[in-house]
Amino acid sequence: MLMKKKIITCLIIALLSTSSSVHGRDDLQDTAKNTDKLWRTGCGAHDGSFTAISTSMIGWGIGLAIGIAILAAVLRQSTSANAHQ
Amino acid sequence: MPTNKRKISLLLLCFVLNGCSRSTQEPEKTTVSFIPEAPKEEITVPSFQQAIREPHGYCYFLPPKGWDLADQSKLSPRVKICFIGKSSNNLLPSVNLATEEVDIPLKDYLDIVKRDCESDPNSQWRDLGKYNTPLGEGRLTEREVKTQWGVSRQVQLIVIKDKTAFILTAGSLKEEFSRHYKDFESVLRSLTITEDLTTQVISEEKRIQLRQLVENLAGAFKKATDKIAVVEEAFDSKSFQKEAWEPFQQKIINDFTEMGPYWQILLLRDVQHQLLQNLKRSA
Repeated sequence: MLMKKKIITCLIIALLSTSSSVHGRDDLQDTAKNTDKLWRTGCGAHDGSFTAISTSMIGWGIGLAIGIAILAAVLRQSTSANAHQ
Repeated sequence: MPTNKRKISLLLLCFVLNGCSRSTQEPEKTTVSFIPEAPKEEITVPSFQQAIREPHGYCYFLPPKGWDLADQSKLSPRVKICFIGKSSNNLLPSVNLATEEVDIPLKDYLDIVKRDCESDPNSQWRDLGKYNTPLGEGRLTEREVKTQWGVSRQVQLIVIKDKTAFILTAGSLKEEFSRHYKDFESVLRSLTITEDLTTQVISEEKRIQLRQLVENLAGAFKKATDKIAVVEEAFDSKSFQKEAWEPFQQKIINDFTEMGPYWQILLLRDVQHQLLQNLKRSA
């Protein structure tokens, strides 16, 4: 009888610890995702600042009339490429 | 004996349950990282080519006159467009517009930006106060970043609208900043958002002219698709390009200079997109 009680207690502890560890891992995943998301936030401002320096260092640009035409052509090519896929 | 059997079966059940719970967790690969030094890879950011229109409209600004377009391939992933000015120094003045999907208020976003700058020994950051824009109330901030060519001073206007942060950055070499300040101020004031690009043309006469140009282009494209069934091929056909698209493009570039090059690019892309999509839908 005593043995039976011991086994049942052990089983209950084993089951509880298994399920709680699964929940624990889920919580950890959620926390990790939230931390990751928060860590990535602010990248837009960083990119803006980085581009302000990097493009300035490259030191050249394309004349507007040509640049506008090129950018319009890029869309046409990408649309055509998508259509063929 | 039956007690022993029950014990064994209970033990087996326990092992099976334990095994199942582990097997469901093990194969799951996580891409989440706690390590701050890990590369900030971004897959969800649409490229400029794909992002024709923001979900809430077209956001654009007027760059200073005479500035050039920066090489699109050199821009950071979230930067939509960048213009660069002229200078005798190595670090040229520039303005750019970046966007970022966010689900936090402006104050929290600024706290994150501030914290990031403070953690970088080469940069200094300060809050310059509120700044009203057509997108809503924004915040003007200033950064100073040490580079090999000297200190770069940048003003950043940050506005959050419909879960998107719009970041307009204007900067130059610190010594030259006062010389460009008026230009930068005009750039910041010009930031706007619209559902329809054509409504932004102030002169009614020009608005009518623009609508007429678009209608004529649509007519020419319809004729081209009557000859060539595939819409993309019809658009790329020599006759349509020479007789309709290129003259239309030139008209937009030459007759609507007051709207600025970014508006012109967005309009050309929008018209092109509309032509291709409308005909695809009707086909």
